[in-house]
Amino acid sequence: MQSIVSQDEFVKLVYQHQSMLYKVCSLYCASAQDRQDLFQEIVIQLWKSYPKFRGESKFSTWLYRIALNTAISDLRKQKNQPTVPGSESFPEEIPEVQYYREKDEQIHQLYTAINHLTEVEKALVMLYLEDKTYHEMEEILGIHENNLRVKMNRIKEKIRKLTKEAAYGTGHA
Amino acid sequence: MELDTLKYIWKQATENPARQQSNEQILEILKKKSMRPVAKMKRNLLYELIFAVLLYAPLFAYYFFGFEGKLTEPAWLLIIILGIFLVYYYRKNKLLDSMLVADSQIKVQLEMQLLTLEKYLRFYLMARILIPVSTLFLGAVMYWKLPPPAKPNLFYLSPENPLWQVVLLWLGILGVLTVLVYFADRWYVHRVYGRHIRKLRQLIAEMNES
Repeated sequence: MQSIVSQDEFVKLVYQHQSMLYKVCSLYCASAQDRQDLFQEIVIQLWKSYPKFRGESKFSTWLYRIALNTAISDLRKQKNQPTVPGSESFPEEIPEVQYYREKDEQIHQLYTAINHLTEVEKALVMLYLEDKTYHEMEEILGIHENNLRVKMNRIKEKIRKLTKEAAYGTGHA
Repeated sequence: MELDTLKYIWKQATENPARQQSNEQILEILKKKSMRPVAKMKRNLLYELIFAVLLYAPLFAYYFFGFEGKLTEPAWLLIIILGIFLVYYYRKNKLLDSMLVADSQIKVQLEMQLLTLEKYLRFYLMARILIPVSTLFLGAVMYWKLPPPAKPNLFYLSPENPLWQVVLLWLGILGVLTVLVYFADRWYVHRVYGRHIRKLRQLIAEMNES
């Protein structure tokens, strides 16, 4: 097992980057309990992979890879999540929607829209909103830059439509 | 609303200081066990190994020391089965270890996970075929070693039951057992891992499509 020094170092790094980890959890989990479970799981996976991190990529790139891999590939918290948007109704409850609704209706619209995206699209949108370049996105996701641009254009259109529906309440059942 | 205009909202929405975990809380998390399905599968595999050793060891002793030493063959057979099981355990454990790696690119990770899971399940189904085969072999050994029953029956060679008939019956049982075990296992595998495999395939297909 890793030494105490590296453990302290690791804890500090996680502490510094935890808002990013929470963003991943908020995107992929609907309830507070699920978000907390996913956060714990990501931290455990980060800790297990930490000895292999040699700084060949940026720390944030490595962090995103593990966080998104854990969130996407485990699939255990996604059974009640809405999938691709279509004729289905908007979810009644989305991550911390009450809090955000009070704060800003636009945030509610954003989360409502994101919640209707697929797991892969969510990852893409998150990296885009985090101002990652297409090259960085490719490093994290393993999808070619050109393909990413095509996908992003489609997602932008989808978000535009979804936020519009959320604003006018047309997505409700 | 344009996605680009949402960047500011996104940053605001996700910077909630109330969620912050302290260093101590993060340190506490490191002591916890992983609840990932693969980590659970690894733990279950270990329980399976313990169960196999606890089952086979007394059975070995029973046949080896009982029956006045006339049934040592089944005892050795059980040891061979246990040896095969250890190889099976090692191989499965190695496959699960490779599935636990999470620092590759997402697409690479998903492809690797699907490939390894399919390999793992094929290996599981193949290994389970050994159950009816070894059971029949055990039965055959008993057949030759133990005295025939006082009242003749279909399973034993007698003037009424020629060799071909007895062999055919034993092979028939083996065939039925093998088919039953195989389909029961396939059903079980499909039930436990089917949804996961379909989801992995769907994610990979989505990542590949342009």
